[in-house]
Amino acid sequence: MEILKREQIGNNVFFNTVKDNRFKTMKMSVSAYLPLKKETASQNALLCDILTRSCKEYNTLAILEKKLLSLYGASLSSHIKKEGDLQVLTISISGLDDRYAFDETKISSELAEILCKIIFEPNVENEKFTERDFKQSLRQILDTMDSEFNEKRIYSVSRCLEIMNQNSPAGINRLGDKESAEKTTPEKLYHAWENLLKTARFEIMYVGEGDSASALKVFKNKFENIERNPEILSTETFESDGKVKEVIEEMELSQSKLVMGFETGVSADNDKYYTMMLLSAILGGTPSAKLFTNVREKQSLCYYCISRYYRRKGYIIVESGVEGANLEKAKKAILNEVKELTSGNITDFEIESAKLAMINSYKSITDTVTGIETWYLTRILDDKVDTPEETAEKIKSVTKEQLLEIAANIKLDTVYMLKNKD
Amino acid sequence: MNDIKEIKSVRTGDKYYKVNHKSGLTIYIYPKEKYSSAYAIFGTKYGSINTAFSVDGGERITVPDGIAHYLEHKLFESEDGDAFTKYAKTGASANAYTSFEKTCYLFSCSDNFKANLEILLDFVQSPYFTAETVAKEQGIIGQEIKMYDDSPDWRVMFNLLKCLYHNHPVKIDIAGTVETIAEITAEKLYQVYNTFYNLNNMVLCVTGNITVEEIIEICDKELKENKQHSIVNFFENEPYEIVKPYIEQKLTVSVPLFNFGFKEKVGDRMLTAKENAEIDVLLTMLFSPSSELYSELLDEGLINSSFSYEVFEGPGYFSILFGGESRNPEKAAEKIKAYISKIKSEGLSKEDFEASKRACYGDSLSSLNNIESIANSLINSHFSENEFFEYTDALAKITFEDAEKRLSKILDVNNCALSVVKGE
Repeated sequence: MEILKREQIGNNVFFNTVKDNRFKTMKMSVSAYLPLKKETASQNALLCDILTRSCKEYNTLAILEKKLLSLYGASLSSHIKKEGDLQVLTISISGLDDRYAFDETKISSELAEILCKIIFEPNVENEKFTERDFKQSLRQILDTMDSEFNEKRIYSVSRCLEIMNQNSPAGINRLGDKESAEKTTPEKLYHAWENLLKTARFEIMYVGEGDSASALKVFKNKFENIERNPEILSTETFESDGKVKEVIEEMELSQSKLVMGFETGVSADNDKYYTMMLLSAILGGTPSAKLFTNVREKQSLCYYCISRYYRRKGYIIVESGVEGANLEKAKKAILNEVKELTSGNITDFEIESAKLAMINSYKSITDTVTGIETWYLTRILDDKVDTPEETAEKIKSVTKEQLLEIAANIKLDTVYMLKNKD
Repeated sequence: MNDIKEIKSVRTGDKYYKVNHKSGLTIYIYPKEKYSSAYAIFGTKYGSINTAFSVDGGERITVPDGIAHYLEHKLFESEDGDAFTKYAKTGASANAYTSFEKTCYLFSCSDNFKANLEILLDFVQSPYFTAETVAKEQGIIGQEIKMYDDSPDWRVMFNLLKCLYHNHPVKIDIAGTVETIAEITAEKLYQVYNTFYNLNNMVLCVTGNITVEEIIEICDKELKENKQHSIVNFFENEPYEIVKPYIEQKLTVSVPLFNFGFKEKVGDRMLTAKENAEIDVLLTMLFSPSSELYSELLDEGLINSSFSYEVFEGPGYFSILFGGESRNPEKAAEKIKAYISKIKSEGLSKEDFEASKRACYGDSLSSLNNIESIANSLINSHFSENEFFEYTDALAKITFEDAEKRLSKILDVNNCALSVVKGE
């Protein structure tokens, strides 16, 4: 695999290529980075969805999907993500490498063309999207919001984040809210599309063996015809107001959920974030971590108890599923492990095993197309984009002193309990 | 003596090695050049459905539901410490899972491969169960079961299986219930371990940046020769007909979910590569987003992009399942049935057949990118007595007539059931 090649093809538009001949497929994606705002979040989510339903040339979903099917089952998909205080809309296309076609079909260049049409030549008339696609996208986004409620693990974490981030964009759902989604119209979406092309930051990513140079040319031409006026993107590091918020909600469930949010003061724009990543792994990132060993294995309180560090905002989220009657006991057990961590009771074994686990997973990332794509898309806004190997080296060199220096920064901010009704 | 055979795909040039190891174990080795990691999976043909069996013609033994999964948890502990602590010193990412028909232990790593494979082979061959360690797991697995009890996806599927199967144990939750796992003892764990964790009943698949020589060297050292014994699994006779056509459960959900399944005829063996290829092409033609039905269901607001289909097959069970979120699952199921009847009487489209064949072929090659999916496919092929590359070759060869013939044998609209999970 070659390392990432990056070329600016417009004002805040970048074309990134990772050439790799080990895979039998290629993948290309276009990601738009925007400030996450309550007024526009749903509209952008709808836009991301509607663009993949049809375009001028393939003007119904069935026609578009038939075209993809004939290209050896290529797939087109859309993803809406939250990264710190930003909303990220990604549309990607992937398919078989040209080498494996039965005939002379140039699969990869056809797919690059389709992706370009999806972004720049949508199925619009008289400055609006079609009613048919609009209805489908609206229903899809509302259903997706509901299905996140269906899965209580996802729901409880998003509730905790909401409570922590009441005054920050990071507290807004990645899909926005139902009311604003329902207020959107096919006309408004058209203007949102125009606005997106002008104001978002774009990162185009090409992973595979095929002809990325011609795809680059096509996208460069398209962006040259757009008057670009990109918005400023920034994420503020999370700061607790100093008061611990405790929220309990009740529901008909078999298992209760416990989610706890911690301030760390260290986020992606701080060099020490590698150290914080390691601290979070020592706390609850592996089967030899403090939470797994003590809360699960020694006390048999739960099946899962993990911690995750959100490096853009700089907080740690701990989550677990426990018996309703054990909620307080589990909370105490988790806080006890956090206290061990913050007061510096960390063994060399805990440090070494967390390091080895992290290094192992970084080194494996380059073995899948999606692993490579996701790695770079989540780091592309960093001042310097590290490769997985560079990140592994940085983790390796963290010392115990460096860990102890910032461990005490970790402070409880929010406790969210989703309690089963008796 | 170890017997080593090279198996090559004529189409892609990819190859792997099948080893009949002198210990009794079958080993598949699939090296991937220029990859930076390796993946190993060690599995036994023993899952949640194997609850009644006999060994070497002995008496029939019945064990509690959920014991295969319980054993999977407990096997990580050996007399000299637990496997996770050992892996913690090498940095592998390790896990295990129990399904209906198999239990698998796996790891992936970029360094220390030799040490990791030694740990895997060692702990799976070193059971250590005491009353105390068995009791400790009750709380952990109890919470795992409760997590599944709240999972709408999980519930909607098991409810459907209860509608489709009268007697086959596939209808029982893989982890059992809080009551059945309370019956599990160290003695019972040893009993099933000694029956099913015989190397002749197991398989090892290794993929990634590894060589045949190093795997064989480690296996020669770590594997203890196992005397083959004969295992008979008892499954009560399962009629062709379903149990009941509809089931509904209330859970705290805001968008209802459904699973809609067609119970299929089971033959003497599992589906062949050719039969699998024919069914996959048919399902792609008829139900993928490019199909007439998909657009119709979308336009009427009966499905969303979560709609999916799958072939669900194992020893003694075979069905075709559809699933997704819907505000009107009954109507969606009616539409699917009507569409199947229509296609069966009017015939298939040749053009759709060709495109779907290509799409399935593309999918099958894509799966060769990933060392994890290769290893898991190798294990599945082995337990269903198929050869891994046969499927891709079969896809390239099947004809329109093959697909027509297959369609007439599956998707009986008088033998299907609907399971729904709704909000209160």
